[in-house]
Amino acid sequence: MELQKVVIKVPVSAGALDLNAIGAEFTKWIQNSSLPGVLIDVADYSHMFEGPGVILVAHEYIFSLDQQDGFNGLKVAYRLNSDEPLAQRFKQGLDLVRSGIALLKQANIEIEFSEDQCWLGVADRLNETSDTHEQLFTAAKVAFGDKVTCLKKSESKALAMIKVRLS
Amino acid sequence: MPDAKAWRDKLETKLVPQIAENIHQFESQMQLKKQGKVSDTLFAESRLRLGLYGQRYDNGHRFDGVQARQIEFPNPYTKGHETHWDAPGMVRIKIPKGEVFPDQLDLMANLSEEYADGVSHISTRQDIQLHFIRIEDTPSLMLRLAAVGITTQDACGNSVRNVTTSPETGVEEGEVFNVDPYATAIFRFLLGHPDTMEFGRKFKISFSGKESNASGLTNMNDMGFLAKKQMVDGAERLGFKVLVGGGLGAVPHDAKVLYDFLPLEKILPVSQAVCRIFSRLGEKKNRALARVKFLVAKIGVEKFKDMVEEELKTMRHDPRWEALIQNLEVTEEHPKTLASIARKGEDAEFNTWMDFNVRQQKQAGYYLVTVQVPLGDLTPKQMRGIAELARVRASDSVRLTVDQNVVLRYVSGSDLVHVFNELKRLGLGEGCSGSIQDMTACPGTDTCKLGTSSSRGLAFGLQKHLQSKGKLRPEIEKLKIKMSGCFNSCGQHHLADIGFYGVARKKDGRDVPHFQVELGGRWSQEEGSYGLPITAVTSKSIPALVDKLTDYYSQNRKGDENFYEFIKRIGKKEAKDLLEEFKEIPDYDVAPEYYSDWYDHRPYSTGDKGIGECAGEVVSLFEFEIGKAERLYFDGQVALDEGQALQAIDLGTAAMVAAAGALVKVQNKDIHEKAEVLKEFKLRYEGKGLFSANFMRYLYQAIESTRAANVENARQTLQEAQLFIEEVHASRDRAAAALETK
Repeated sequence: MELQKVVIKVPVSAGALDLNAIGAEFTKWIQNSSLPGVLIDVADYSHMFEGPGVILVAHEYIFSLDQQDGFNGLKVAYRLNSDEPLAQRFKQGLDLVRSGIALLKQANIEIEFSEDQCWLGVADRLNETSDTHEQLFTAAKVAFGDKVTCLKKSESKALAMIKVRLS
Repeated sequence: MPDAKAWRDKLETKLVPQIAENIHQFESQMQLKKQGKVSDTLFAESRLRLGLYGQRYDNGHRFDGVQARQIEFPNPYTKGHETHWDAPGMVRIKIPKGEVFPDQLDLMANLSEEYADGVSHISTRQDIQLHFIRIEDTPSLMLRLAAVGITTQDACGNSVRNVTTSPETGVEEGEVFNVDPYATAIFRFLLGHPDTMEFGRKFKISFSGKESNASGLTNMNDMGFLAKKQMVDGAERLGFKVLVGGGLGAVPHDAKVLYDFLPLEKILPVSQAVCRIFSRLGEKKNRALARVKFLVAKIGVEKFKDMVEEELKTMRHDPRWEALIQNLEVTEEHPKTLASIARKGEDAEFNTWMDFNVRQQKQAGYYLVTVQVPLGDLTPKQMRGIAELARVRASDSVRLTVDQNVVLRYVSGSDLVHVFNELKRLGLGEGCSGSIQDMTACPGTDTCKLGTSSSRGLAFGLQKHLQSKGKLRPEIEKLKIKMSGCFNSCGQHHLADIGFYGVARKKDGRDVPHFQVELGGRWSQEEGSYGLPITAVTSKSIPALVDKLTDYYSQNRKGDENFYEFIKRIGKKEAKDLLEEFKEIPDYDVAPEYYSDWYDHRPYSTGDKGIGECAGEVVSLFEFEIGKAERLYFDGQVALDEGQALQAIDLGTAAMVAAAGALVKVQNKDIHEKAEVLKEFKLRYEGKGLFSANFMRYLYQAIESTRAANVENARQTLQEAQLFIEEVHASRDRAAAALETK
């Protein structure tokens, strides 16, 4: 079985992080059905230290302005297993995050992202093996081309993720 | 659910067969529910008993800020009345006594990342709750918990909920004795006990080793056990003062003394007797009056005690009554560092943390460290960090508390600086445990279907406000603030100096979030300690209200008068006059922020409230038992499809025995074993015209004959099982009709 439940996070590069303003935007996204999927609710975790920040819960995924792992970023974590190849799911996930970035720009939220890099991973300890990081990198190259370089790997115990430069 | 099968295979050696079987049965029930073969009522109560709770918006309705919308979940199935199958839900993970070990913390951190939103929430009953969980993921999640010795069974629904204890038990100076192993014994004994299957509401038990320590809250539970010693014939004897009928909720009740002293060996039979009486006489129709406290209030504690004594005489002896007490499970705690006396240093922040968060144990040189957890929420990194601290600098036995914090035990004085620095690195180094800033809040409108106002939002908003004020006066710093999203009191607002519970008001056709204020409650074991309801105020005015109230208290208290005494002295009228200005709702044009809730960007609306599942569903013993028979039959069909003929025959036979059991157990709850079921079934039904003789023969044939394990015999056994189950239903209906005619 292929690795399941894809996670993608694009780092914030500049701008003060105003979770309250982003929560308001997420609320509008539900009103306007701005993202694909069944959008359900917004939850605020700004009281947590390096927590999930503010999240938009959909049936298919959880979207967040996430503060975990020591950096802020726009993140999508898929909740459903999929028959699609991992590389294809990475592409879909990154497209979704990019849609979010575009919506935040349209809303004049003062925040910038390092769109040339991202963290890619899986929330799937069932199918995790010693070469999971390698599998992630292979899928990343299939998804985004051979120019992709691996910058960093996640620590043990944390979700299996790799940080990649996309071009 | 291919993941669940894979997890089961992977974890096989670590799973207790009975627990794995329970989870497997739930998977079967999920399949049957999708096929429309299980009622919403039965399925809802079954999942609730496994800790799988509904969450806000699971009825598919949500006000998005502009309009009320239908959430278009993909699957058509339901998992309860008006509860969509696909709607995210909450899983309550039962942590008996709040005791959790490093590997368990690591595992729950993983689960929160893989299945939830990355947050593990500590509840006010020492549980861990994960939110936004898909029901399809729950079998895998439960299997993984089971592999580290954790069950979610009886975490919700009309069952015996998590047994709570003081986190200090075993290490606290002045305690009578360590109550921990007795709490474990009662948890093991009552978990899934047949006498707890027909409650009209939930049942909560608490233990405490010391009367003056309030953290056990024995006075506010359905049943409370307070450690006690007594001299009998010149010898010291251990036991418990037993309390019954306490509880918070909308109408708080102080517990009454059931036994002033109950010897240790009696605690299990007495608990069982209380459960049987509650099961038999507790209110079933009106949920608002269905807790034990109402039964005790109605008949009086003396009469209740007489009934317990009578019940004890009629109960069949259970060898576990003695076995569990004689072979107590005692957690052996091993400190990682030699004992050493703590010393403060130059760092003011560390010294403040020492003042608020560190307490000396009775074991010299060791300390209890309270990790203050904002709103009880932990990230995976924080969970793993706490686990690691427990592994290397404390005892492995980590405790979750009823005020939503974490306690590390057996920290050597020489390790305190390291522990503080590590907690700071994790963002958990706040030095204000037990202070006015260390608030308790239930989930409220964030996730609870019953929430009226945002209790968590208010708590965070108020916390930020108080932090911005800098150092507070000592008498104010000591106050406790607690809030609940509705009158049900999950946030324990009755017990706070300043308590709030969510209500709503309208102005000019718009909903406005409010909180009812209660003042002068006490975090104590003593009676009469609930707060005095004063008035409802706007939610957004509460920071200013707290400022005014605390200033007034500081300026007008007499001597060392505490807040409880102060409120008692000034009385309700003066307190109400003081808060009058906060009832005022400004016009929308002037202050629109009053018309939305904390950290919610939608205009406030009460339209999102659903039907709560705190009360569970009242499901009869018959429904539970016949449901079991139907699951076994279903599993038999699956086995037949997979070519497992022998297994299919066994399951078909077991389904018939379970169905017969459904009929006889409602007449005699003490019947558990297969042989007893068959004997009673024969006695009560054979030759009485109450059950078709033909179908009865199917059961006896299946039991007595050894059928060759082939597909044909398997199919025949399953067909017979199906007919037998149908006849059980019909027999039950006929008996009910006959009763109505009479």
